[in-house]
Amino acid sequence: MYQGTLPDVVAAIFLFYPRDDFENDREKLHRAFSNLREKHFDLLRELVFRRNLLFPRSRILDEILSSLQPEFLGKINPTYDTYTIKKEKLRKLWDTKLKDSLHPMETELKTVAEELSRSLNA
Amino acid sequence: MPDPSFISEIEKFVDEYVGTYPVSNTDEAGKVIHDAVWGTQHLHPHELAILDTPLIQRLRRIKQTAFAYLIFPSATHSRFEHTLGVLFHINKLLKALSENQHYRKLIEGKEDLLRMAGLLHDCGHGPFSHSSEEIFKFLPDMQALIGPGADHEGFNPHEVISHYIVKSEPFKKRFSQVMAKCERAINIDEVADLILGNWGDPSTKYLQDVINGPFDADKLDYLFRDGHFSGLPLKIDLDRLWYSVQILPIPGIETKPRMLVMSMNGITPLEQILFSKMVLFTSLYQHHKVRTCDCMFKAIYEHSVNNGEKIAGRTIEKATDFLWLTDDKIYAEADRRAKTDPFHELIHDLKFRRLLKRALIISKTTVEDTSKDFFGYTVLKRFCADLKDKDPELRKIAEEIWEQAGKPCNMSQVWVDIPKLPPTGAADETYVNKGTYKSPDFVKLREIFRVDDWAQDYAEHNWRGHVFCPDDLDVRKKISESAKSVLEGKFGVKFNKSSRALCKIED
Repeated sequence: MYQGTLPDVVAAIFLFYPRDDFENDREKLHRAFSNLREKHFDLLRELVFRRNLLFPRSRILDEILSSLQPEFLGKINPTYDTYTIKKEKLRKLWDTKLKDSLHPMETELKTVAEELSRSLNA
Repeated sequence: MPDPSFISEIEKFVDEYVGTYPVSNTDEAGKVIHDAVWGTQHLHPHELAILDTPLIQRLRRIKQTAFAYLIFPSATHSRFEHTLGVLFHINKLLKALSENQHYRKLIEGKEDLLRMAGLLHDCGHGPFSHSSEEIFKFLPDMQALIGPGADHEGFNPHEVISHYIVKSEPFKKRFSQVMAKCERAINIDEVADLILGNWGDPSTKYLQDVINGPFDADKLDYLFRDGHFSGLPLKIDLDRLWYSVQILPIPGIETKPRMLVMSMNGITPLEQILFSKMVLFTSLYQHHKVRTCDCMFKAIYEHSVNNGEKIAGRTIEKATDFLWLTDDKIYAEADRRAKTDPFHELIHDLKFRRLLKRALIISKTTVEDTSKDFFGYTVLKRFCADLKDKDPELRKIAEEIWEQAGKPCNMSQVWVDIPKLPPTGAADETYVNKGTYKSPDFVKLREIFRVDDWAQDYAEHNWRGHVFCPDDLDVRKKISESAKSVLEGKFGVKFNKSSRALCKIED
């Protein structure tokens, strides 16, 4: 089975994210992930950013966020301003598909999730 | 800084393409040039001297939309025509801005600089434009520049190459000769930075936006031109757009960059731009036959690497090697070889439109309903998001499919294609002024126009990946069955009957 990919890592970060939702603000999200990547480069190495735009932007991050919708990340109607993290489904994904390959990184993933939350809610 | 060998390769190419040619006789009056899309425009003598170099003339032999002409017969327009179209849009925008007293001073004396950047912005393209870019972006010399942690991480390969061409010593030498003869002064390093999208000085970010921004001259030309020549004409209210552009500092951003922003009057043409992009994406750029052609082009490259075959007398192993090629040189390679030569056949299959066909469709509608398999398409989407920029991984999967099918054709004829989603970043970088010039009130375009939700709908309902193989029905059945089995095993999903039926393969 094909496992341990960057989308899996991002899905796991959202599983361990300490809250149940986050603001749909692309600039905040891309900036936060860009900073996290600098700190956790080995884990997020493939999350490539272009840095000469108004804010660091990763096309791969956009692809991944898209791929996690609507099953794992939902947008609350009618404003679409908030992503809801569907933790139950992510937990099932972790247990059945991700745990085997990502288990050794669980502690770091939880740290990254905490840092992401601090960054998005600052 | 790039590896010295990369710079040296760029210099060899530029030396050949500009170094030894005399500066053409420059008529003081310049020249007018006619264009099927935009009509007539005037070029200055110093621009003509650069336009006449083989460096820019080679763009005549590179099709703007690569192999789209095999599906949309009139889409034969070239990078050269597009380059001239970009100059037209730069002119129109500057003219509109200069009619406003607030902006006139800001753009005064910048016309030559911007037009030169427009003229040179695509000089780093390889044969068949983005089709070769999709190959050479994975090569080590390019990955050293744009890959994870590199100086130009995340940039488009052709922009990086164009930038270094313009910054090369042979080009600078030639450029200074032209400027001296035509009595002009343009800072060539500034031109190179505009091409790459670098904006060191926030107070002049608006100059960057003309060449490399959310509604830049490049986009305006290619949307119209690609639509026009493919027979999918698009409507954008350009006059309103040009006259709705403002130059204002954005207070919400740390460096307070002075940018091109749009007044509320220009919202409709901005929406039209985004809509046009989406239409072209689905109808033209990601048409499954266009994607087939891209795969067949990759097969030509793959064959040349695996068998040590030269193209136009060159071994193609670095990104810079593609600069020496144009569309015609690829096709001409077939004529240098016997009809029985597999390389001849690969090139002629593409040239004469003997296209590969679909053996399996990967999409939301071709995967079993999630009620039967809890994750279904969701799982597949995650893998696809990962594989979109990983051609080498996709080749390994294709090889597995080919082997499991009993090798019923050549490996060069089996491809797994996972296209990217349309980019939506521009909506986050476009500021709309809801207020006035004196009391501006900015919002991002995305807050007015939810383009990422559009892209999401596209991803859910229109996006399709494919497995391609030869037309022979027996071969297609074997590859299709094998592809289904390999992808199901790899991704843990179940494909439904539509995955093959839509390819016109009967069970």
